[in-house]
Amino acid sequence: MSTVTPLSWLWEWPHWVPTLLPGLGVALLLTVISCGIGYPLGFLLALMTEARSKPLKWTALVLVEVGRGIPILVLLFVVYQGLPSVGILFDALPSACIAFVWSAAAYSAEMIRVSIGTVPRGQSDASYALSMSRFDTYRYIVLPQAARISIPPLVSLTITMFHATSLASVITVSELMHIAYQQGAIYFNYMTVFTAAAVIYLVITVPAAIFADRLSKRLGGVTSVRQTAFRRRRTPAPIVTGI
Amino acid sequence: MEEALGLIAAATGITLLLTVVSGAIGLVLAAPLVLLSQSRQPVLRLAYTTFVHIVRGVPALVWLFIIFFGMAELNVVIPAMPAAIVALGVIATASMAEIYRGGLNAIHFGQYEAGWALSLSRFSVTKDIVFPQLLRAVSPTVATYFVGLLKDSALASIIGVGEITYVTGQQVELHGNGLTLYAFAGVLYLVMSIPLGVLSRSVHSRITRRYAVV
Repeated sequence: MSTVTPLSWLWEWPHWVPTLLPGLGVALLLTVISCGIGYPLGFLLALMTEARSKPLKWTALVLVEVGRGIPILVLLFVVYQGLPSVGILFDALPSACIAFVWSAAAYSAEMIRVSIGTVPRGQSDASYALSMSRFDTYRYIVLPQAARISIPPLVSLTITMFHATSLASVITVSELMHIAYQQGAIYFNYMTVFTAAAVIYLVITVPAAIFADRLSKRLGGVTSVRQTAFRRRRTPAPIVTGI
Repeated sequence: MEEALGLIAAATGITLLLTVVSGAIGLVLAAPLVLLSQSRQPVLRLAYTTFVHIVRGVPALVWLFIIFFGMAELNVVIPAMPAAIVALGVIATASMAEIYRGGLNAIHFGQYEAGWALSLSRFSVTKDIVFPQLLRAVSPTVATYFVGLLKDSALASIIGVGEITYVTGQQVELHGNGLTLYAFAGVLYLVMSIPLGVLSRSVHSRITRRYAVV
């Protein structure tokens, strides 16, 4: 379009926000599904990696390490383009859900496992000394403390998962970036449309990130003796990358 | 089949190149950036926070598209590979700066005070007291970030950089066999991230041994 001046995207992007909003809905839906199913699964996987039975432990370890070690983009392709070669076919949206749930489960499993490990050994020793069962020790002593530690990283992970849903556009799920790319290709106004998309992501993510920061500051200092000894300064929420 | 696997394995170099170059950009540029967050001027601190929040608040894919497709529309045509490096590099800069800031915050203020009490210069306090502890505090996180970056580099396939994921996609279209080929690509990523983890652990323990601070 010859009428487009190089800087027009600066003021034209708000026009595209309504077009992109249905995509935001899909992105949020994907986030809720992947975290809603992924985190409980991650909790199970975390418990399995601590299990005494070898097969259980190794299954969990493989699921977690593969989920964390492979780019989510490759996971998406494995489910969407790989599984059909052995006769298992999913539509784009279920494929994306499977890949994201796997990823969320693997990352959260590791975070929950680490949180459980952070609870001082003396806590469970004391509980066993009071002749509490293994189950009761976990249920009433270890897990409540671990939950507190694992909340800030899980909030950060949720933000990362929300960002990761943009990748579903690659396998034609019509979420935010897919719509943005299509519109950009039709009207050749990529800059305008992508700016609108970026603003939508920012509006959701920045408040969430600030919330995560606050939360990690509030919850972080309590259980760790090392941190309370230090002068109180803002501690950034943990960084989750490379999904 | 062997030919396809060979081509995919050969693309490892591009993946590593993307990871190392954008990671190095992040490591270096984050250092001056994090200084802003330590400034006495509220304006500079605000500039830091704004930059970091905006860069990290937008998904990598959006940055990649803005730099690759968006800039082209403004008549600044950037080829795929540099576009990917710039996008990943900018994101790495913001993330590394946050990692450095976390490391700085973990250093007890008493460390500075003790240094000044011994009448060390500001420079000496930074170089001999703060820096070694910072190095020790951030090295595991930086290593984790590099592993993350390795996986993020797969994004470059979307704009056509011929790295592992891109070549795998091509080969799957040619030969089918999607599961085998993507599984192979996945194994390549896993194999590359394991040495990074081992290396980071050895670097971390070396730093800890050299500067025995608890």
